[in-house]
Amino acid sequence: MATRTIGEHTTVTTTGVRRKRFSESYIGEWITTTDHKQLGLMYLITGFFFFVVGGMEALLIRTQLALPDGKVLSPQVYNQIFTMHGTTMIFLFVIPVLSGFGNYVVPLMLGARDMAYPRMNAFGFWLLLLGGIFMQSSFLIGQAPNGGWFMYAPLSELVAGHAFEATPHMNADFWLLGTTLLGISSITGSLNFVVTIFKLRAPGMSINRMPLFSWMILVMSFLLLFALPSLTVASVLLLLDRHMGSHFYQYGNGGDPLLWQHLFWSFGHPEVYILILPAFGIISEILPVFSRKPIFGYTFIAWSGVAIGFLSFTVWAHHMFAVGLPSIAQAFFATSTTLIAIPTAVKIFNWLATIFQGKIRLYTPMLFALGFIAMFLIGGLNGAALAVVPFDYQITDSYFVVAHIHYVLFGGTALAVFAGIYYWFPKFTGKLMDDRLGKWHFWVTFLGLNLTFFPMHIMGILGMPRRVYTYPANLGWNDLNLMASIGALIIGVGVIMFMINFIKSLKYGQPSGDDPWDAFTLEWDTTSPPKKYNFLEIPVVRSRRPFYDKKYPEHADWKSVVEH
Amino acid sequence: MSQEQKDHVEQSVQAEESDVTAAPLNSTPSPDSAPVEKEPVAAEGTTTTEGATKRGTTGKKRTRARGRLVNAEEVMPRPSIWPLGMAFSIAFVLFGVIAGPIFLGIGVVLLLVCCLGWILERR
Ligand code: HEM
Ligand SMILES: [Cu+2]
Repeated sequence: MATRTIGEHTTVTTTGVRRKRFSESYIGEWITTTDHKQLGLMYLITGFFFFVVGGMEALLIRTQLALPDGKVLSPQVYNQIFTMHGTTMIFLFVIPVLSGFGNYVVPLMLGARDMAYPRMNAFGFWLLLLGGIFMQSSFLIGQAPNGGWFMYAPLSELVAGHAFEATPHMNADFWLLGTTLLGISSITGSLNFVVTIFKLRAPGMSINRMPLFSWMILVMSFLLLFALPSLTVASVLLLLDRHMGSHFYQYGNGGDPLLWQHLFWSFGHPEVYILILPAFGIISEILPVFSRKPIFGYTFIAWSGVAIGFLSFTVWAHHMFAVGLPSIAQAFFATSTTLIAIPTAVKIFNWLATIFQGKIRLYTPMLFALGFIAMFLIGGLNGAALAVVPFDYQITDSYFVVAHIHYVLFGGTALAVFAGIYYWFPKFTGKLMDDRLGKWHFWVTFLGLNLTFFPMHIMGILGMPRRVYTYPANLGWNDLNLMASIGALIIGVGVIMFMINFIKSLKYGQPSGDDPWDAFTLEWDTTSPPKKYNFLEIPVVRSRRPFYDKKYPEHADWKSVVEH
Repeated sequence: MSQEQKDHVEQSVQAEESDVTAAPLNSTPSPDSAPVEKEPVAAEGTTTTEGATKRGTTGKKRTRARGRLVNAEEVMPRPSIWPLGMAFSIAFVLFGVIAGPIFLGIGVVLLLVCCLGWILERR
């Protein structure tokens, strides 16, 4: 199938008059599509929609905390808002957007006509959308999840022994069922990616010629496949506890509350790498193109991603240092956590070597990519600090951890996502995004994010716990909190600039041509936007930069570059 | 995107002029050696898609078409409503878990219907 050539349409309707099928109407086309590109865009749009929802929740949090003794939200509502903020951003923004890029770009990069299982692909998308709506609809009945994005048992139990009510209403149920739905969605998506990547690569594209973004999507898919079951198991056990009278997490009845934490974090830590690895992939695509050099140390970047994938299953209890683990366990998890910083640092050095002495073109995607490196570096360093057990004892569950999360997830993943959007927007639409407005967007976001999240390190060290709904005025936290809230507003302005740019470019954007960045990989070796079937003839690949080879045959990589 | 579907009908391709055949002789041969089942229909003068025009600029004329020439609808996945139906029913089942046995029952029935629909759908 792979090299078949799309030819003339042989079954032209003879009569010319035929009733339009449902799948050809405007709405029908959206809801019945199995095309990886359209589904990819639907993932991206959905993800971005939830980014805005989660962002508004964040602004509510920061409004409440801007001044001491804030009265904007009640304690009960505050719990729901911060829980839904984290849950939305992780499960409904980052994962969908990254899968969206994967869906759109990976088959094109591999020289394939679609994903391996197109209908399953659509199924995954709809589950995601319905799961998201399901979870957010909990606000309508005032019972949104309120136990934090990690929903610790036994507080999330209906009753936690001794007739003490923990979460008596449906709040936790929404979370448990919603994440289960999203889990099914992610499993189908991952299976699809794995099979697509293993089976549908263009002739000549051996696995070590595959673009790094596809590599990282592959690792992400394996992580999801192996990590999600423990979340699902944990959720089902908790549902049984809540509704069927079992006692898995109830100490008083012979259960074990720590079981939840172990199950959750053995999903949760791989999960955080699920959220960052495709971002690494995006960066590894953008840097070479905008530095006019091949990526430095391809093999190292690819395999350090795999190493991170394996290691990420061995570090989960670093989220649990404070529960009183045996000291041998603490030593083990501190060591493995520190180890994981090595492959991560390898990548950073490779990226720096890639741009070193390159002919750098500072367009918006590149700006975001460079911003990513700087911000992710801070996030990695304060992560390494948290891996030091005595330090973690002091700082765990404080705003320092919140700072860490956001440097890796906002400074890291979100910036990479924006980089990806600016980079692939011409592919999606055939138009360029406004570069000047894009640069404004970058600098405003960059300023806002540092103003919001840097002070959180200090708040944490000064002892401000995370997840408190307010604080008294006499603890010395006031200025820092105000700064963070102003920063959050500035990020909001940045997001609005992005939306204006997006809509404006969609309507009036400058035509980009098929290959505006003079790129290296196969997704650009077709029209922008691509036809339904992607390629008229499946390309044949002879190096890691097939499109570069085609455009510059005199300097083609396969003539000179030895691939390890 | 119904415009694209029209493109399927209208497009015809110069398959014998591809970038692959234009590659130097020591190039990796394409592993696909399926026999040519249909003569490439298009010649100069027929409508070509932009892709084809761009690709066929080598000037050299090769007569051997590579691989089998197929039409787009044959290789591309068809649209289907069942993925949405299936997702909806699973969501309904889980909703039934908290909303009560009646909803659960409806959800299970829906799920079975969608399974059947998905399986029996002609591709
Ligand atoms: C250099 C590598 C990293 C190290 C050494 C590291 C270490 C840690 C440690 C020890 C904690 C637990 C802190 C505590 O609760 O007391 C933590 C929390 C966290 N990390 Fe990292 N981390 C790293 C990279 C990342 C990355 C890449 C991400 C995601 C993209 C991430 C996301 C998170 C999140 C979300 C939490 C907080 C979970 C929560 O309690 O809500 N980390 N990290
Ligand atoms: Cu972790």
